[in-house]
Amino acid sequence: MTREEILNKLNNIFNQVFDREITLLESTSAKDINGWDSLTHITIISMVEEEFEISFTMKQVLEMQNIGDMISIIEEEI
Amino acid sequence: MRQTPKFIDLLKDSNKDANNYSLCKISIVGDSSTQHFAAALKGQAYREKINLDVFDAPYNQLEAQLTNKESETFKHNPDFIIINMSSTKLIDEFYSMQNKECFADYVLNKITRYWESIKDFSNIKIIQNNFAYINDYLFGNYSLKEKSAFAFQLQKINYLLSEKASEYKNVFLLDLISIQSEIGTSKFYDPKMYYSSKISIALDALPLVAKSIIDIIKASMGRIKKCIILDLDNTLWGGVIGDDGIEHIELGDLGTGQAYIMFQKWLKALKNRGVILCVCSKNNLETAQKPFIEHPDMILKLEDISLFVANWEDKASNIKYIQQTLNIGMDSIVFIDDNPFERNLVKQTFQDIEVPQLPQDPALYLKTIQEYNYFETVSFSNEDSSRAKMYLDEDTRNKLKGSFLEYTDYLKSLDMRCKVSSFDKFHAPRIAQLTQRSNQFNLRTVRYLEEEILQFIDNDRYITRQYILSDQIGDYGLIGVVILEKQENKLFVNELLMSCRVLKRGMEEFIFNDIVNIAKNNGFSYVVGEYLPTEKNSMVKDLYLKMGFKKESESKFVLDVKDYIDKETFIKEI
Repeated sequence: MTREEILNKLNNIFNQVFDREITLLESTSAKDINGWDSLTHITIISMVEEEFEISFTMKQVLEMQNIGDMISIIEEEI
Repeated sequence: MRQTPKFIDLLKDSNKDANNYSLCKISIVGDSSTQHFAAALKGQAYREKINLDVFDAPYNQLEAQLTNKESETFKHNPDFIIINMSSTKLIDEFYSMQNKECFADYVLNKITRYWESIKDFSNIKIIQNNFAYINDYLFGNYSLKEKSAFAFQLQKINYLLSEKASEYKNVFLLDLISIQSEIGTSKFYDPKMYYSSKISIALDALPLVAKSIIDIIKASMGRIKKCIILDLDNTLWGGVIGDDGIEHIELGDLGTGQAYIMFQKWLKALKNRGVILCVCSKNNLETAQKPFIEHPDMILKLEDISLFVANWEDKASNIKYIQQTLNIGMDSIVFIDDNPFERNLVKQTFQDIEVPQLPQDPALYLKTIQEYNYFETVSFSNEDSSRAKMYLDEDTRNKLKGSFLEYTDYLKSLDMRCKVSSFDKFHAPRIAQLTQRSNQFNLRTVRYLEEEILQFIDNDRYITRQYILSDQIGDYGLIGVVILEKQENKLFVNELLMSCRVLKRGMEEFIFNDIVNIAKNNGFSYVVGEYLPTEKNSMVKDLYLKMGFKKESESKFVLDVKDYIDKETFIKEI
């Protein structure tokens, strides 16, 4: 799966979680999206794990900075 | 695995407008982060048409929130306080405890202190979880018999919780252990989520937890199931009785027959705990009843079935007939049929009836129906076990009724006797239950817990009445409840309800005669009644007018006791 494809899948998940159209970029981080708090972060993590059938580590959950980080981890894990 | 919504779906529903639904206020207090928990509850409540107004206390403030009467938890004025405690936190505490053998008692003391503190404040209902299972394998399997091991203490805590909760009528336990064992520990608890965000119940498990909690809340609102209507062929036994004959239906200790036997045993236990069983089958009556009378392995007998309907009409009409005869809401009925065509027909005709999707394999019937958790309740009284008999008596009465031309002659022939008194402790569970279950003949629909009923007994601002009716056919049990509040020269009817089993017996007239007598004997000049409409109580909309009260405002009615003319009834007070 290319980074682009992963990004698209992530975008889908974000649309669901925030219940609106979101434009995700690799550089997007929590401060860029209104409503991306600890509650939604955990919801996103859990949906990403299900979608890609992977399991993040505790460190990854805590240290992920932006969408680019998330894509890199997913690339590694799948 | 059963079909449950995903957390994300509940999250979306949690933001939807529920203003048209009945309001329930809750405060959530937990020792782990409860934001997701709260969202799941709100979402599930929305799906069940409940407008859940949630105060979610900040994480780990049990002590501050529950023992301080000024806390936000209490200021929210909740109907329920949800106490959410996690096994992860528990084991953390256990490791720093010196005297490990006393751990369970220590935890129980703490929890009951919370309960007491809430009780001191008011009769808020409490939902307290039991603790998901953890064995830390410090002693391996030996932990189970070693008093200083966590697994030993954990099981003791869970046992003591049940023991203690049985003493508190306002405490309801939430069975997290069942959910954990259904989905497995690895789905129930995600250590990474706990360490990163203090989430003690994984998002995958939350929909089931939310369902369980909302089930309790629904039951407390009187939304309970009272009756199961059963199909026969391929539902209670394998095969078709009309074609295969009594010797060839599958039923008994061998092969597929076992599954039906277990299913029947569970149904019989449900009947003994007060759920009405009825049969609705496309068959000749005689053919359909034959296994109940003659088959040696049949667990259910004819006397277990309160209404037995077997004919060639469509099932929807027969179900309508059963519902009207029992005089209960369509939404309190569960219809069980293996045939998807019949299920769809019934569900399409009556939106409110509960129709579980039975799996193809009869081996899975029981598990599937159990997982729906239809029979949640917030009370249980001795009268529950005789309920099936009462409906059978009713059938006998209906037959008797047919032999009279004049309805009053029928009423006279019943030789009805009513025992009237103030509330007593012995009947408090049943009284509380009636306030929770009665929907139709209920003027104000105020729901009371047993503890609140007991408080009325000693409160001289109130006069209470309980009505126990019997006739020559059988006992109806305690079927009427009245709570009168003294207000200067008036008596205000705080609660007036009657079981629909005794409609059209002259019982309502009897109750009004009694209320007016009380007013006269105690020097009150007026009786003030109030009708608060709900979706279900329109049958008593004009009751006060019918009894001679005058309309005072939109909902209030007044009677000058001087003007009251005693109503005729055929019920003797004993």
